[in-house]
Amino acid sequence: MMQMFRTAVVKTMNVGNVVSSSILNIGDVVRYQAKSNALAIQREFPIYAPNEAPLSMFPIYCEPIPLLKPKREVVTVKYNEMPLIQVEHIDITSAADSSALIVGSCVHMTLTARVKNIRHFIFPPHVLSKESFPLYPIDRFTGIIL
Amino acid sequence: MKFTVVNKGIQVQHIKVMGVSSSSVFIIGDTQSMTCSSIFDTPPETVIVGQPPLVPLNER
Repeated sequence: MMQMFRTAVVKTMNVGNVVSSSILNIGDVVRYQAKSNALAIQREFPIYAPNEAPLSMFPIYCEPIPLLKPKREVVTVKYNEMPLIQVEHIDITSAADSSALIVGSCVHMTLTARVKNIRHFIFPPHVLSKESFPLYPIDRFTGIIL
Repeated sequence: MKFTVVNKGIQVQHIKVMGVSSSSVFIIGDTQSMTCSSIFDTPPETVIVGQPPLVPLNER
C-alpha cells in the first residue's frame, strides 16, 4: 500500500502551537481521527462557575454529520516519476481545533470540529441608532434575552 | 472513468502558514481519503443578555 505514496523531505520546520485535538505528525499514518468540541463563553465580567454549561445542553455537539460517499468509484492510476516531495523550510504559527500537520502520507483521515461561541452581556449592549451604525442591528436581535 | 496522475518532481523552498484551524489539514505527502467537517456557531443567536454570571448557565 505504502509504495504508492511518496516520501516527504523537509529540512527545517518551525511550529508555534498545536492545541485542541490537533496533531503534528512526522511519518506515515494509516488512519487518523480527530474530534474537538469547544464552547467559548465570553462574559462582560469574567466570573465562571465550575461545570456551569455541560456540552449536552447544546444540540450542536450531538448533531450527526452526514457522511458523503462518492457516487461511483474512480479508477485512479498513479505514476510517481519522482518519489520525493522536498520542502526546505516550513513556518506554522498555530494549529487548533482538530487539525492536522502531517509530514508524510496519510491513508484515511477524519477530522471533526464543533465550536460554539456565547457572548454573555450582564447589561444590555449599548443600543445604537440605525443611522449611526447600520452594521450592528441590535434592535432587531433575535437571541435569548433573560 | 479512468483518472491518470503523473507525479513529477516537486521542490519548495519556503512555506509560511499563519494558522491551521477547525478541522483543516496541512500535509506534505499523499493521501487517499479525507473527511473534514466543522460546525461553528456564533452570534447573533448566541448572545445572552441578563443576570449576574454567578448562576450557572444550565440552571437558568
